[in-house]
Amino acid sequence: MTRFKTTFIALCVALAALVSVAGCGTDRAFESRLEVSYVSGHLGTDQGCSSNAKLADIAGACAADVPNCGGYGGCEEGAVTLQLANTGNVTLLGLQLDSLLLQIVGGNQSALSVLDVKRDDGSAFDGKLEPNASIKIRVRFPAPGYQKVPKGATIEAVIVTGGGKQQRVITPELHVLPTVAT
Amino acid sequence: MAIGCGVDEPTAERYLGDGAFRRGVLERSLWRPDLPYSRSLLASYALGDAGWDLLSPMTELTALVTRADSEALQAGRALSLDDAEPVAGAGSDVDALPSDEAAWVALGKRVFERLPMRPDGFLRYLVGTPEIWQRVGIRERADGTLRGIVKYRDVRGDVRVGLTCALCHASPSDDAALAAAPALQRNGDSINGRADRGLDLGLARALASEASGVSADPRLRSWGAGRVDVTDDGVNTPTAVPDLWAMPYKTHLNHSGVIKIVSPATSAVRFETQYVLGHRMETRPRRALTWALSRYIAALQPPAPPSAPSVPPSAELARGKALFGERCASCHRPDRGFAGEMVLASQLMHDPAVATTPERGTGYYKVPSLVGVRYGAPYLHDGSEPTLASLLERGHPRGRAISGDDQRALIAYLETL
Repeated sequence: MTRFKTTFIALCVALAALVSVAGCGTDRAFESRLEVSYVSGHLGTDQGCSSNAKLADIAGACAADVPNCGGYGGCEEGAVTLQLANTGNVTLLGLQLDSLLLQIVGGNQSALSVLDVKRDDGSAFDGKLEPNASIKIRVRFPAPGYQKVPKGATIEAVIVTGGGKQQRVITPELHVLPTVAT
Repeated sequence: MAIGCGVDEPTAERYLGDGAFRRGVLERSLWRPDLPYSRSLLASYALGDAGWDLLSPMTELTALVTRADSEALQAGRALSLDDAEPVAGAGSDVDALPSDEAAWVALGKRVFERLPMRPDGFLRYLVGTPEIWQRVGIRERADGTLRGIVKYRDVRGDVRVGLTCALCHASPSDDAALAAAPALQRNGDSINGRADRGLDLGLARALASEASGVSADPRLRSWGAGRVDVTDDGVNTPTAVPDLWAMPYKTHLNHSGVIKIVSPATSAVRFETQYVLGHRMETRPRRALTWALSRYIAALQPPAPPSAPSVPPSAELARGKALFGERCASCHRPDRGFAGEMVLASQLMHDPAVATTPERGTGYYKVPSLVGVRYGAPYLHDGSEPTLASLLERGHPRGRAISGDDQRALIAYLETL
């Protein structure tokens, strides 16, 4: 009887351990994981901008075929492109940009106002990311202008999931968009 | 002749498939990594799991802009891409790589003429405003196309008007020059590789800006035909658009030599980053295209030297050649395509501004190749000297000491290079 009891207790302990391990495994199996990578970015340019023009209406931002789509001077918002990867195996929902901070090289830090967040092909970003999938999103913000960032700036972007988890990425030093690029 | 590179022996396969190789080429070529231009490339190029390697590839369907497109824009209609075809040619397979050097060069010619280096709002205005074409140096060709201006769909899905290498680095030429040019350099009425010194992009940008109700930066009108300011650093430093021949002999790229040629892949890396920057870092070109472009540029040659009747007497040429050996060859090395290493800008007579810009200033100017120098006027990085004689008299530290018959003999020799 004692021997049976000992064996029974040992089996229970083993079973509990298995359940515990299995439980951890179950948690892991349904864990959501978001990885955010820097892809590219620039600080735009204020050259050719009209003081009263809406940035979104400037030629660089609107379709070239849209009649009267705005100026031709090269005015362009800043933009950061990020890759979001879901390395877990549950669908991520409610992904969104939480904050965007500009850190001027040798200067101050300030929050950037976000103009829009879209996928890199220009389509809408719905905040959803399937397991084992990755997408690229492009965040646009008003160009700070060369005079403010002559030596460049880094940008810190914080992405949050619907569950409240945060992922932070800091870009390398970004610069004003070249208007000739040669 | 030895060439100005050869540190390693890259192949198309290494450039196309080995990110570490590309990264190494970039790092070794940017010999002033502290400059903003260098930092911006080093921060994002060939990082593998981040940066520009993750960018989506460019769309490759393009078409040369035509008079019909101009009329569409004037009428407020959308541009049609019905006539667009792959940069590599109709029916081409993007997965199939050229099989030999000639095929790479042939593909490079199409890239040169058809792959947009960047979209530009002012180009759309330019295309839709034919009354300013002559004023800014745009010429409609017999088939109705505009050289170097294409339409395409960008990565966002919008139809854009963009410029290709052929807008600035090809020049209208007369029938005799065209007939004498190698077939791979003929481009309709123009010769690829020779800078278009009649094209005034500063004026075009200024007119476009004003047309949209935005005061144009007055510096744009100061550039003049054949010159552009390639840096965005608040300093007005327009430079002459260069001819593109003699690439195999060059030791550095850009007037201030910010890029050192450390490998035949240097120019491919350079072009790749140039397209990425031009497209706002939203897309990247397929590397087969940038490798092909680098092979094409390397193959470009200046037009043939003057025919026999116009060649000066051999005695004068011999004297000029001897003078060159004595006075010029230590910098413009004949065994390196008459190019050389860098010289301190402070030791030269011309404006050091381009050599000291905040973005790309190295403190030096590169010693350019003199191959095809007879076609290179106006001279110097800023195009400030109209002739070889004025260059020698005013713009070159060793040229001042050469005058009279010696100057004529030296120029006669230079014109044969």
